[in-house]
Order: sequence, then structure tokens, then C-alpha cells
Amino acid sequence: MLEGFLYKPKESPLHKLDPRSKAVILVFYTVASLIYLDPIVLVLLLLSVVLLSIVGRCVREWSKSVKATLTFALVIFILNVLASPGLGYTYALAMSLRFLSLAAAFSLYFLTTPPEALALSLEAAGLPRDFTLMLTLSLRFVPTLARDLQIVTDAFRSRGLKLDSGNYVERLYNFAKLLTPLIVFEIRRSLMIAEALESRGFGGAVKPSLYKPPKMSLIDYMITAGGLVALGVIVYYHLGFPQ
Amino acid sequence: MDYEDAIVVKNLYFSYNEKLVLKNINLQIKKGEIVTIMGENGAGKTTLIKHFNGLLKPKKGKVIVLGMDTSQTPVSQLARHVGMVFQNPDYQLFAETVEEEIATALRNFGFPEEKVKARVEWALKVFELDKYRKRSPYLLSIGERKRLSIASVISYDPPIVVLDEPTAGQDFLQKEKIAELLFLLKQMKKTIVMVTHDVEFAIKRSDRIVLMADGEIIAQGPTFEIMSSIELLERARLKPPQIIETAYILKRKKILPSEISIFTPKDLVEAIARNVDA
Amino acid sequence: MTALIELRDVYFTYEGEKNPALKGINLEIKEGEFVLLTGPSGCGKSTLCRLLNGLIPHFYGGDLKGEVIVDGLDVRSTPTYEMAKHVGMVFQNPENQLFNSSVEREIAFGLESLGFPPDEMERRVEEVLRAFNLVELRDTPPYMLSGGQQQKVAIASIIALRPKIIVLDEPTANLDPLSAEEILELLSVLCKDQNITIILVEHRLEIALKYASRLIIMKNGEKIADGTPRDVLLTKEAEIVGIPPVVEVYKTIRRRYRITGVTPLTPHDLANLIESLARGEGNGL
Repeated sequence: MLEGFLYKPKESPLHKLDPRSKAVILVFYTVASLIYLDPIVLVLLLLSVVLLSIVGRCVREWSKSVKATLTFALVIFILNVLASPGLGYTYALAMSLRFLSLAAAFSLYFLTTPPEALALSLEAAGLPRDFTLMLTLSLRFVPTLARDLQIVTDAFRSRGLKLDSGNYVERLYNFAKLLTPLIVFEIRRSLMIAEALESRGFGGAVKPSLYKPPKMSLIDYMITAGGLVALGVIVYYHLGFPQ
Repeated sequence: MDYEDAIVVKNLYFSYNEKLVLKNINLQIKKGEIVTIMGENGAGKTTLIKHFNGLLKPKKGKVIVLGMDTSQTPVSQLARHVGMVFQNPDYQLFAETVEEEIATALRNFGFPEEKVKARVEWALKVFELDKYRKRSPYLLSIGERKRLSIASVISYDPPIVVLDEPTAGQDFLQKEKIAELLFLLKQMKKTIVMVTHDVEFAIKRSDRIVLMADGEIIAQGPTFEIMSSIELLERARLKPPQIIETAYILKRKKILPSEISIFTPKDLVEAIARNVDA
Repeated sequence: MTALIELRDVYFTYEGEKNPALKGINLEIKEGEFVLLTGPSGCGKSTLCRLLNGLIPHFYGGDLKGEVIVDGLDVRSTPTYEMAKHVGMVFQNPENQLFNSSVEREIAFGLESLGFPPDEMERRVEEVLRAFNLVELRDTPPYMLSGGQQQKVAIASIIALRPKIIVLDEPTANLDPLSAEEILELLSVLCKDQNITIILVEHRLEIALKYASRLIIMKNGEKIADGTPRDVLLTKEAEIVGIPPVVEVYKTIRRRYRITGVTPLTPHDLANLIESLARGEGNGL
């Protein structure tokens, strides 16, 4: 399931777009799926994401995430039917479709946007480096942390800690023991990273410059403008504006 | 099944992420031997030793440890007989006190409490950690944490001990300490498997050497035989020990006869005394 | 020539500690030297390194006495980001000093932090990528690089800032011997070709000695030996850091054959020495 949210580099028009313009479209999808309760509209939204996934050449990976979220969507449907029978099946259907189209849109975004590019474009848009660095570092160290967890697990299993047998409570309790060295290790690691950052000139009085900043192309501007307009239209028509 | 062998590896293949990282590994480690597996980073050494306590299972082939087929035996059972000491002790320290840390494995393996106490006392004494018994493991120095990680594994007396890069990052005096510990383990008649790329350390402490490169064993044999072959060491991307290299150059220049075996500084000094008049 | 690095009567105690980590250090290092700094664990060598780029006292706090002048700057009154232009520091664990998603961005990071203009940044990044043979790896994320490549990128990222001094605290500890040698060879070239002062902390003397012009041994916060490697290795103090096997042999035979030449540091040195003995060409290199 996670594969449906992991960036995969490909040659597609969606991949070439700036993360910011795609973010505007994502906001549109989010707002639209929250505003509309008509299942037909929601299905249309979902179908448009399917079309976009074809444009983005990632139908296979994208469909994996949809398949995974289908189970959740079903759960939402059943819960809504049981919890509020008065609102009827249409409402329950709309709720599950809303969840599906949200997940679908987000999945497509992350499949076509390298996470580092997001941090960069946020910084280009004016967000201070202190914040974007948090994002960059978290992303960069995900594989490292995964490896650390594997090493700690190996070390503990080698001393007889049972992680693959026994009941769930036992396994959970044993798993919790792994967290202590892992957390201490990562805290130590973060101190070492801080040292290295300082030694590389970080934290100075000057505002950091940006190397090869991401540039918005004409298409990006058009898409952003289009997205904002579409957003404005649906908000106006469905929430109304105070006169 | 020949029980003289502590570990038997037959035609072992292993892949990771669809890439073959171990190819056709065949190895026999006899009880009581010290075998050192050497090669550059990425040669597959750590991947191989993780098969010895079942952390990894073969893709093809068999690994038999003390008569147990690792693909049919859970890690918790194999770990009882194969103590594995990882390179970085900080990945495993979690207890509140040094005592607790050493007791962990013993308790995991179901030792009765009096036995646990007795073994912890023994380990604290032998590894000179007695004065730190109530201290947090995180407050020990790097060398002491290394000793602690070895102590927590030896405490439950496994017949086979596997050490992954025991001398990495250690200073000279710490390395001497680790060598002493190895000698102690040998005296306890344990089978020792070491992974290292520290040639100077390996040449002094091993009975046999296994050279690996690109996931394969390119040579294995008695320490002297393997370490004196400059070509083999080069293929494994290792620098030859200094005395071996010096002797090799002198033999090539015909200053020393090629038959004599020169292994230690003392050997070289004697060879010079006998063959060089100045 | 005035010293590039000057330490006068330096005492330093970490916060919360009773015993000083550095006791009465007096040190002068000239430009272009390749200094090998070694000593048993806890002797203060890492502390000394962190003094040179201002991590002590700015990052670590503690009680610092004495004078520390690096490239004309008083470390106490110069912030670390300013020191970064003069002193680059490479740490033991390559993972923890690579922050970005690609090699190219990593090399640019220091330049970004110091606010360099975009075209200057692009120029320097290209220059460094070429000089370090990293052009093909420019888009590679750090976790896909080998340990040796990671350290190379770390050094490259520092060179982009063009510091006069590079301090390395056990940079090869996690590397295999051949990768370690590649890194040390790289440092040696930087030292010789660009006159960059190198201060290297290393335990594996057999690999590092042949590159160093100076060997300093520390113990318990004090400097106990300082001189050329060939001289220092023959002192009694050197025994606590482990003398390479060839030097051990040399120490034994020099008495017997009354050799007065220079200490061999490598197997080739020793072999040449014994060869000249055999051919009766005098006593030593």
C-alpha cells in the first residue's frame, strides 16, 4: 500500500510540473471532495484523478494505493450506515467516495512529486530555511532510520528476544524494548548532525541563498491560476459569500 | 551429520532486493576454531554471518549450525547457541544498569534466577565491569560499551561466538583488550567467527582465514597460507600485513630466500639476522 | 612565517565535568602542514579538533581558558558560521554530515548557508564535482553511496567553501582499508597541490603515517609527543598508540646494525633499508 504514496521518477507532464502548482490542484480536490455530497460529483472527481494518473504514467502504482484504501472506504460506508441510518445509503456512499477521492488525489501527488522538490519549492516561495530543513532532513533520513530499526531488531533477536512468536501483547511489549536504544541512538545522531550543520556554516546571520531554485513555468502559472479560479468558483457557489 | 563441525554452509545463495549478494558459499567451521572472514565493505561478510543465527535464511542451499538446519529453526533457538556481537554496541544497549543489560539474554533464554545472578557476577568480573554494575550503560566509555556488548552475549555461554568488526574504531590499547578476550574465549573452547578487514589483527588471532569478494569466497585456508598470498589479498581488496609485504618485496629482490616463512616482526628480524650480513 | 593555528596555554573543561579535557595545550601549526593527531580514547584529540572550528566554545559551552587563534581569528569571539569559511570539519560518521537528497545539493549546501550568489555557487559546484570525479553521481541520494563515496562527498562539500584548513576526526573509522587510503590520498593531494592544512585524527597509523609531515600524540588531555612521524615513532610515548610492525622491526635491528638513517614508515621503506644493508651501501635511507 505504501508503494502507492512513494515517489517514482518518470517522464510525464505531471512529473515536470512544479510542486506548488500541483499543490494548488490538490487543495482544489480536497475542498471539492469536502464540499460536495452528491455521489455522482464525487465519482466524477475520482474519474478525473484516474485520467490524471494516465497522464502521469503511474496508473499501476496509483491503483495499488486505491486498492488498499478501498477496504477503508468500505469500512466507512458500513460505519455510516450503522451510525446514522436516517441519512441513508447515499450519504454513506458519499462519505466513502470522499475518502477515496482524497486518498487518490494525495497518492497521485506524492507519486509524481519528489519530496525534496516540495521542500525546495516551499523555500523558493519564501518559507524560512529553518522549516524547510526540518522537512529535508526528515525525508533524507527515512531510509537511514529504517536501516537502524533493522539493525536494532537483529541485535535484540540475537539475544533471544522473541519478535516473531508468542501472542500479540508479548510481541508488542518486546517491540517496545527496541525503542529505547533506537530513540537514544537517533537523539545522539541528531546531535552529530547539528554539529555538522554548524561546521558547514548553517545558522548564520545572512539569509541562505538557494542553489538552482525551482522555477515556475508558464504552464505552472496557468495551472495555478486555473486551480485558484476553479477553487474560487466552487466555494462561491456552494458556500456563498456574505453580501 | 558430522558433529565435529560447528557450522556447515552448503551451496548457499542469498539475494536482497532481487540482487544476488551471496553466491555458492561453501564453508565448514570446526568446533574450537577461530575463523576470520575478510573482504572489503560490501563483499557479503555481514550477510553471511547473519545466516549463522538464522536472522537470514538461505534462498538456496543449507546452513547447518550444530546439527540444526537454520531454515527450520527459529532465531530464538539458534541464538541460544550462537552469540552474535554486532559492530556498534549502541544499537543494543537499552537496560537501566549494566547488570540488567547482561541479565537480559539470560532471562530471554529462560535461565532460572539463581543461574542468572551467578552468570551476571561471572561476566562482570571477567569483563572488568564490576565497578559499573549499577551504572547506566550509556554513561560508559566507548571501549567499556564494547566490552559490555561482548559480556552480554558471552554471559549465556553460547558455544559459538560471532563478532562483527570487533576492532572497528578501537584504539591500540582497546584492541589489545579485545585480543585478550578472544584468547579467553578460545580457552573456554568456544568456536569463534570474526568478521574484520583489520589484517594486522586477523593475522595474529586467527586459525583460518576466509576471503570474500563480490559475494563469493575466493579463498579459504590456514592463516599463513592465505595471508602470504599478495595476489589473493589484492583480489579481496585488502592491504597485506606490513611484515608479509616487506618479506614479499625482499624475497622478490632475492635478499631473503623464498622458502622461509615470515609472519611476525620477530620472524623478520631473525630472517634478516641469518641472511643479511652488514 | 607566522603560524596559521596557535594555541597558547589552553585549558578546557566540558560543562558538568570536573576534570579538564585539555590541560595546558601549546601548539603552533603552519600553513601546508599535514598533521596526524593520535592518542588513546579519551585523550582529548576530538576536543582539540572542535576547538579549531569554534564548536568549542560556541556549540559545546564549557570553560575555556587560554588563547586559540585560527587563521588570524580568535575562536572565542568568532561565530561558527564565520569560522566555517576558514576551517572545514569532517566527522567520523559520513551519514550524519550529509543532509541533502543529492550529491549536487550537498556540495551547494554550505555555499547556500553562507549566502553565496547563484552564479558563484553554480561555478564552484561544477568545479568541485569535476575535481572529485563526482559528476556522474551528482543526482545520487546519500544512502545509495558507499561509505568511501560518502566521505568523499563530505570533503567535497567542504572544499566548495575553500577553507585554508580541514580538520578530520577519524574520517576512515567505518571504511575498509583501501577506501581509507583513497580518502587519505585525496587529502594528501589537497595538501600538496592547494597548500591546504590538514589535521587528521586517526588510530590506524599504518595507513596514515606516510602522508603526515607531523605526528602529535596526546594522553589525558596533554600533548606528550610532537615532531616528525619518523622521530616520534621511536619515542617511548609512541608505545601507547601502537607502533606499526615495520617500525617495530626497525627499532630492533637499528641497534644491532647501528643504523642512523630515517625511520621506515611503509613496507617499501623497510625493504629498501634492508636491501641497502645487504648490499653494504651504508646504514640507512
